[in-house]
Amino acid sequence: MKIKLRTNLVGGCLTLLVSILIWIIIPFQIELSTYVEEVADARFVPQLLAGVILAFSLSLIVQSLVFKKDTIVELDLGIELQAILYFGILVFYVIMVNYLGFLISCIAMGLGTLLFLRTKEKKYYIITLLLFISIYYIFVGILKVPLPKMMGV
Amino acid sequence: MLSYFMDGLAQILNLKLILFMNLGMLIGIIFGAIPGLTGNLGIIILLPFTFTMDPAVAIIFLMAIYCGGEFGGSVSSILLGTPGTNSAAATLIDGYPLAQKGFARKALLIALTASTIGGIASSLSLLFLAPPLASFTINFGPPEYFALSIFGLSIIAGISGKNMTKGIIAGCIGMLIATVGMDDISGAYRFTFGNLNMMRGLSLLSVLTGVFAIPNILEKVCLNLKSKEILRSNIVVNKKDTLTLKEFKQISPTIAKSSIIGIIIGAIPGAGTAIAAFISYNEARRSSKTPEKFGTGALEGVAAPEAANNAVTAASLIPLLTLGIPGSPAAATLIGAFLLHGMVPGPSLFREQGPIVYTIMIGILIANIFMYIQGRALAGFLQRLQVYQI
Repeated sequence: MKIKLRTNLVGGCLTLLVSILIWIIIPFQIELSTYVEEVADARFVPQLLAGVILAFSLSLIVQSLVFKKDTIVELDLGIELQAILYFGILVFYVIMVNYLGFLISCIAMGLGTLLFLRTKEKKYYIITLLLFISIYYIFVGILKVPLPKMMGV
Repeated sequence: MLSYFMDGLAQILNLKLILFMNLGMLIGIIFGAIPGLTGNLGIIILLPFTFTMDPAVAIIFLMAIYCGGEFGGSVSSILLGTPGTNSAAATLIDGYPLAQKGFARKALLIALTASTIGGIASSLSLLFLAPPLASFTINFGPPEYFALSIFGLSIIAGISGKNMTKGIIAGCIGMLIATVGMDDISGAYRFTFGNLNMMRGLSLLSVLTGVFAIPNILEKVCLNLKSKEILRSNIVVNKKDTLTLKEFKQISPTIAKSSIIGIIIGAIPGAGTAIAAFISYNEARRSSKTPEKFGTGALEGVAAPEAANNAVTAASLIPLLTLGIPGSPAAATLIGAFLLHGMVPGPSLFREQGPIVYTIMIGILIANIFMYIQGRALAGFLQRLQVYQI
């Protein structure tokens, strides 16, 4: 299924939401000292940047809706969703490394990536496996750098 | 000064020094090529190994790592689309597209040649122009640093393409990401969400991976899924691809101008290689007769940032050796190396330890020549790495 996106309009709306969100969370995320009052405090630069993003986002939306200046990009939803799925796999790997340990999660992610990309060359699977085992041995065995272990054991 | 120079030249002709110089250069190239491992990190890790070395050998070894690291950053930038160092992000803009067209070796040779010339120019400036350059740059105050930062950010206008609005929004998002962590002035924590790991800001490796490596991977996933056949590589390695004399003459003015920019910025305390690389790239694009080619594999687009970032290396020692103020983060690390070997950077260094200082300065000049030799030897091997992208 293919969809067409107007990049100025979609980009402008997304960045507008992001700038509003940042503006809202600034008072909660940046606590100011009660002792010192100054114009250029810790919130100044983030607020300035959020304001600039807001202004230019509106500019993008106006460019698209009023002046009809836009770039239309065609996306294959099936392909894009699979790319998002792979991104999800990477996030899952980051989470699981603390539960399965470095070695098992890396091997699973590496071999899983090769399978996901339909790689048929066996040597790539062997190279990936050997690479992760070597990295693990170098860090843990030689450099004595602790790596995440399975379930913390 | 002449006697110190001649003494320094005589001491350079030492096999041990030449060997360590080359070893440092190779280590630096490797460290620079691996994203997240910069030349500065190489200096920090290998500094303890220099405890038992002669001062001149130790400092030249560490400086060779620094110089090699700056060139090494361009290797992964050009071949893999992921910069090895933050200054190599400017090289990626034209280096990666040039490699994608099948001219990976050409791109590497341009980066190597520009880096070598930039490094040699920087070494010569250290040798002959240290005092006047130091007296000029020491006058830089907050307004000048602010102007320099804004000048560096003006690169956004150059790489935004047709829609500058999107470029400015992206630049602002980048600067917002940079505010994560502790504010340097007030000490307030910004956008840490109560997470201890966020209190020092986002690490270079995380940002490089997220901004360059992950999108590259996802793009390859999409490309792979679109094709019915499994892609090994869509890049053709051109065995006759090299840098011609005509192309070298074409990029020479850019290299010269970028080297000067890199030397001046290197001599400014605290400026660093990234800002030099981006300002040079911006200037090369602005002064080019074909600015529309930048971003698509322009040779000048590869040469400019590489000449500039290597021109910073020796020039960053100018304020260090003359005034005791480091010109870059790596120079700050080298203060430790100097102190370790009984050398106190500052105005009295030349008077008290002139021969060693001149040996170091001449050694850095020769190290850049060896970088060219090593780079040429490695270029053929490195270009093949590109074929193995999945």
